[in-house]
Amino acid sequence: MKRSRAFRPITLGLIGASAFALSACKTETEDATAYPDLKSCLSEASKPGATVTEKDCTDAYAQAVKTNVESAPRYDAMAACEEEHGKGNCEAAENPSGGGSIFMPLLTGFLLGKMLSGGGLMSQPLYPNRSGGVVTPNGTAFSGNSGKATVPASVFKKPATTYNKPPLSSKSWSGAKSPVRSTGGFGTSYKGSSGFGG
Amino acid sequence: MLRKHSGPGKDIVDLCHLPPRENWREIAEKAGFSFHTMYGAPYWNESRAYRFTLREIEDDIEDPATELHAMCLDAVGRILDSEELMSRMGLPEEHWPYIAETWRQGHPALYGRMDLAYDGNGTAKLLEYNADTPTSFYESTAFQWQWLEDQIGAGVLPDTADQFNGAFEAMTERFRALFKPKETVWFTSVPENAEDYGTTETIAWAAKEAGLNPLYLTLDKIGVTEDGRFADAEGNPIRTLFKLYPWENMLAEPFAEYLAQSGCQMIEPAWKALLSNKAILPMLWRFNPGHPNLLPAWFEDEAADHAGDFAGGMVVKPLFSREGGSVRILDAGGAEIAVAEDHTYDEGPKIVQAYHPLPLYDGQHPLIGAWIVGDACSGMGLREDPGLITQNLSQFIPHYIEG
Repeated sequence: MKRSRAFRPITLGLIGASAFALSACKTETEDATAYPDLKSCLSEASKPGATVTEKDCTDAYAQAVKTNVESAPRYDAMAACEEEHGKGNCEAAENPSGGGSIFMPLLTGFLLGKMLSGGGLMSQPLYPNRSGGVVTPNGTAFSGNSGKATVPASVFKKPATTYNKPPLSSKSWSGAKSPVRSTGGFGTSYKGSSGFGG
Repeated sequence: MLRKHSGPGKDIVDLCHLPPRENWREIAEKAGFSFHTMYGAPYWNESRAYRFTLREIEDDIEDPATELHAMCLDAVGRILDSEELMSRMGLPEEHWPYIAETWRQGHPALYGRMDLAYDGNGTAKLLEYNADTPTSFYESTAFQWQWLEDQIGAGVLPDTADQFNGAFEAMTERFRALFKPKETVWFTSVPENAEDYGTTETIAWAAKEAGLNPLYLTLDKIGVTEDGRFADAEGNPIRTLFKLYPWENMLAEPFAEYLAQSGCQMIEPAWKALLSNKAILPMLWRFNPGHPNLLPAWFEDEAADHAGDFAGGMVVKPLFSREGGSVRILDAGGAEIAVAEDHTYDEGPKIVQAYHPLPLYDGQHPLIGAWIVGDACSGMGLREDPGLITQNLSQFIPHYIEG
């Protein structure tokens, strides 16, 4: 039988459901605070009216350190690591599978998140980003390693394990958002209403 | 049941005149198929339908088209290995390394549509391969399938009627094989064009069925970030981009310089620019002379040396013409039999292909569009034109399989 099976009519355009999701961002958000180290978190926790407790700090920091061991970006060359994280921001580490050295960015802080809806404490390690800010293992970039932000919940998603897996080489993809410097560079030869299907 | 068969004998493809569904326009409107009528003239025409036997489909369309695609992939490898051959393809030299890199890295192809001349007699002949930006995917899948089911239900077609229509499922499977679940794939087409958007969205539906996350932005909104990647207006980087926009245009545009370092995987990948290019026809003939599904073809400057191949006339085609633009058909003496109305592509290098007239059915010339998804042929859609050159306003005609 050459006919399509298990098939339903497809609607096009904006009538009814569209194939496309509306935006790239998730809507569930969290309050997040970046700290350069455990000490600065503890210092904030000791102030009156603090929104974090000392336990929050130590738990979040411990979790970030654990995530760092499991999921830090790992590269097969210093150049590849510095390409992503900036010169002087990487160090060599032993390769558990006995291959060549692995290179990892230095831990430069951690992100502590609390759900706005209450409950759950979450954290992520932070590494230097070559553009001057910091970045999580999932690739979310921030301008610095201290301060507050409201972020989509997906920022705290458990990153993929990199420990004892093949390291990245310099052509790896970064999902981090980055400011757009120009648009309109495709479609310039398009004039008028005729389409490009053929 | 109204049926008229043109021509004698069982081994030709039949044209049937059938009563259209009374509410077909309403069905089209409801489905968002707004381009069923274009420039005032009908595009979708279900008062005519072609009837094929299963043998004709399997032996004469499906298998040969799959084989032709394999021959095309072989040709791409050979051309990319040779500067001399590559120089014939009409592609800008500064982008040859990028194009070759997409082949070397194995950037996967999604789909393409081969245009074949065939009437049930003899073998189907490849006229050209739109391997970069084929349209009519929606009509070829969802819409003509709906027509078949409705007409079977109405008793206009027999219960046993079938259709060569597996391309949408094949595309869903292809997406599943190429990407991880929930992975984001961006889609783009030119702004304010319902037909291109319709084709793009149909492909996106297949991606959605495959569990991916399709997002859309118009071509002009694609940005370049400070770190040299393509992105949407908010700076969300684009890692995979399906584009209904031809490579020959993109490679000549300002953002082409960012392609190689962008980390963006294009669908179709740049190596497809060698296939969606009439220059592939003389290359295929050069590598597979005498193949039953190929027509003799040479570059314009070589044609005089092979006059014997053009005893039945010749078709002169610019390398990158679309929808029959700037195509000329000449008889053996060099007189024009037919010329395209659209002269957009008149300048530029050309190839010459032996003339093989499209069959004539009751005033119309049908052209078979065989869909290649991944590496195999899995469906077909037919278009008709009163003229010998299938152009922009040709009509889409459904088909069915019986016998």
